Amino acid sequence: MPRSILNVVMVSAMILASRPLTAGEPVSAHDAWSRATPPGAKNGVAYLVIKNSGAPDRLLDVTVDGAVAGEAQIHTHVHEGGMMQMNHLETLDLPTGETAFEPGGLHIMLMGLSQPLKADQSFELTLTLENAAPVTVSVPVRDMRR
Amino acid sequence: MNRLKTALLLVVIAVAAFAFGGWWSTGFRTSAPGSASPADMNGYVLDQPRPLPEFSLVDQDGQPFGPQDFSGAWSFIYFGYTYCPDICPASLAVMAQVDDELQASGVTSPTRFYLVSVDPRRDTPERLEEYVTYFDQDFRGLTGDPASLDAITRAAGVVYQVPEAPASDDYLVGHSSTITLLNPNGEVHAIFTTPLVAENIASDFAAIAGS
Repeated sequence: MPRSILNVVMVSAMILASRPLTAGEPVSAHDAWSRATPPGAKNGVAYLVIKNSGAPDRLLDVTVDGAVAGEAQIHTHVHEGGMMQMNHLETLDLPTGETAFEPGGLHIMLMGLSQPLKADQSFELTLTLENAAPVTVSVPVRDMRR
Repeated sequence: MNRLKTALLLVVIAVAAFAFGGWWSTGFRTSAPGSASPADMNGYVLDQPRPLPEFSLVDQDGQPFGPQDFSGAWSFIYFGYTYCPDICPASLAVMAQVDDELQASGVTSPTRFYLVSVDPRRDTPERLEEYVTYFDQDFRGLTGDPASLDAITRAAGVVYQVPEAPASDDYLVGHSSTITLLNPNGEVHAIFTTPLVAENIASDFAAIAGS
């Protein structure tokens, strides 16, 4: 094999090897969970960590299985005037790196639960992004009472 | 030799600064309001317990509940609402853990735990009953008209904000995320502030109730 072709092959192999298998899908989600809800609760919550290993992106929408809840919204907490006030965010910038949704901070609010979320069940959330492909994540429900 | 002297001088300065810092922070702490607070408490103990004003709330069984009904036990009160998905369930879970911690550590002072809903439009007594007993069978729920809620929240050091005329049933409510502690005379005795951590609250309470 001529040396120049060998070089091209090796360089191509190195470039391919240096990319994750999900090349072209720089956004992923992990550590998702949801809090089990009391009977009759109308709203629930989900937390997760979104990892963006590519260029800055934006979370445009979160959708939840209609059998679980009517709607999923991106919410954050603002601490002002001695109050914790939840704010609905239309979209959320995702800089390169990790964005954590966690209790007392950013969270996915599940509006209009069809029934209480019970420990050991799980459901799917789909994240729609401005640039990267949609991400679907499985969300296990945990009983956090004690 | 010169270098050794410099090093020694630095050590002396560091020790002096440390000692002064300790004296200053202790002096500050003992002269500050809430001086009865356990050291490192997240929150404060009132210098003078504050009596509650008159109000008429309703409990989870639909029974009237006035300030005198808090008498006879220490009361831990969280002000929130049941449509709140994040910090309210987390805080009620913390109160359940405080209850466990107190029992495990043999604290014998009688205690009661309450959620006061500042959202009476949606939180009926039935709904409150379902909600609070999920966290503990003995937890109690209270709510009431805006005038009564204003009276108890003001005394309890809590602020809240409910939309006056929400367009739909999906509105959000702003509220303090603190736990107010009433003494067995039904007076505001202490406020626990965020972060609400069960084992800290339990040990602070043991110090407060034991004193």
